[in-house]
Amino acid sequence: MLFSRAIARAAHESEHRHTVILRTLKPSNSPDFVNVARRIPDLLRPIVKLRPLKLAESVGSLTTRRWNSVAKVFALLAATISLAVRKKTWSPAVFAVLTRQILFTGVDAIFVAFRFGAAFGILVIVQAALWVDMFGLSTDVVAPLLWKAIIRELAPLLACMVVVGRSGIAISTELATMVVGEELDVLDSQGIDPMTFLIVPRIVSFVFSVFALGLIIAVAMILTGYVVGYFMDVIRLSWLEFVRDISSNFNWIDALFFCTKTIIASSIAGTICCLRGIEVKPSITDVPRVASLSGIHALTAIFAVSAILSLFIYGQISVFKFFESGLLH
Amino acid sequence: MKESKDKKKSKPKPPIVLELDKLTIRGKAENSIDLDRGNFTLREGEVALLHIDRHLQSREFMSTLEGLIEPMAGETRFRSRSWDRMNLNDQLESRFLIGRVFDENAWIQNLNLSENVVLSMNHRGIPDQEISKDVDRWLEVFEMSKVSRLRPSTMDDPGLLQRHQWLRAFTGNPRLILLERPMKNVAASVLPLLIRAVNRAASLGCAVLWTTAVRDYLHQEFERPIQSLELVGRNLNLMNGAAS
Repeated sequence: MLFSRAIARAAHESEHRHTVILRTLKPSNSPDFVNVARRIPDLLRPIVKLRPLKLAESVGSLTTRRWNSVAKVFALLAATISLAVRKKTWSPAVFAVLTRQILFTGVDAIFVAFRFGAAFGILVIVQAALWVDMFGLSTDVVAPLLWKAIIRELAPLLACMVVVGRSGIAISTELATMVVGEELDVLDSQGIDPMTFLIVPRIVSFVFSVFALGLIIAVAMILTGYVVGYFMDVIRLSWLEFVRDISSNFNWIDALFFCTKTIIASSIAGTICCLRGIEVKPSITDVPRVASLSGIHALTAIFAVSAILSLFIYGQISVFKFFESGLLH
Repeated sequence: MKESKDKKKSKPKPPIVLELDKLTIRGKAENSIDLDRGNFTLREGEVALLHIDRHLQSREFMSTLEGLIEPMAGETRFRSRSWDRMNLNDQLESRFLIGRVFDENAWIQNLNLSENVVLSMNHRGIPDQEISKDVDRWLEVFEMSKVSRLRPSTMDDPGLLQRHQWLRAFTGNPRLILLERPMKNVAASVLPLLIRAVNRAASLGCAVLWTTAVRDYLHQEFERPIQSLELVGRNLNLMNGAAS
């Protein structure tokens, strides 16, 4: 009996030892990629653990969604342009909507645009004054610098921002509320195409307003730029001389840049605001989300379009021309 | 005698305005009208009363008749043309010829009532004078002094707001009028005005389809025989003994 107990105990101990050895030697139950991950430095482990295929799928899905979104914007813009150029589109009712929108988007924003332009004019001239002091530049540089910065870049950008912030979000909210309130069905049932009645006049008014406000902002910036610059002794010309100097710097590239930037950026921004509005889910609680999203997307588009247009239209060419004019030598 | 009988037989029927051909609808909401292979014909000058349960919403059904929603199966034809075979312009032109009173959500909120009433006629480029004459004619029928310039959301009187809907539906010389519970929020004493308007529209060759939960309307003073329909479950039944 003692012998059998001893044998049993020895067998048990042996089995226990064997089990412990097996546990340490046997590979873990984790999949192979985790075992691979254990051999990779810490920084790269999360990427492998995410599974490369799943990561690729996520990136692909995001890219496709973004591409669809961009394609929708351009499709809506193309449809707007094709409707806007037809005389039949502009019925008295649609024309009334257009005039109302221009009043709200453009006319009511004149003082806001002037204030923005004045504030930015001061900022630009202060920076110009710093350059003059820091690099010992001639004050003759100030007028062309002011002109080119304002007309080519700042005025169109600011005008778009004013209109998007003031009207773009309001347009999205209005359209979203109309969708939720089934007002588009009411229009449709009366034989009125919602695209023609709602979208086209809003986008067209956006373009007209940004163009006009861009001019107002440019004037405001130049005016305040001159006044502040004169008192800071950065500009030593009389007002007439300053205007003559600025006019001499005007060329067709400036006009092209101003027009294309205002028209293209504003049409895309206006389209985005309208599209986000009509894409709202059929619930009133989705309206604020859509409104804020339209503002963000429209502003992003404005900056992106401005940057791309700057690269395309100016790129290297204007830099060489600037050097050629001898202003920096 | 035989000649007069032949003459009666050969009297042509008015053209068909609205035709449902094996129409099958499934509404999105639980209280929407569902229909299985519904068949129905409405001709010029005819009036039809469709009785539905009180809890049912007829908006989706009427939108399907107007070609705004695609049915699950079957076809709706307006003036012998199927909605799904019309291009967008033809559909818009056809819908201009349809007047409609909505059960809910009937207005463009950022326009005042006057602008709402004349919107479709304005959009078609009809001269202001003609619009004005047409509106005045129907103002008289509905015993309204003028069209309000208030916004729909600021109108205090829901009955008067509903009558503006009637005005919008009947003006513009429509060929078909769809009435979704037109007596909602309206005093019963005003019913004769609506009946009078329906009679007048029918005499001008307009077809009228009226959905209601009230069966008493059958006994009103309609000048023409009424087609009385009932929705039982998902079946559209023509009731016997249509009243005149």
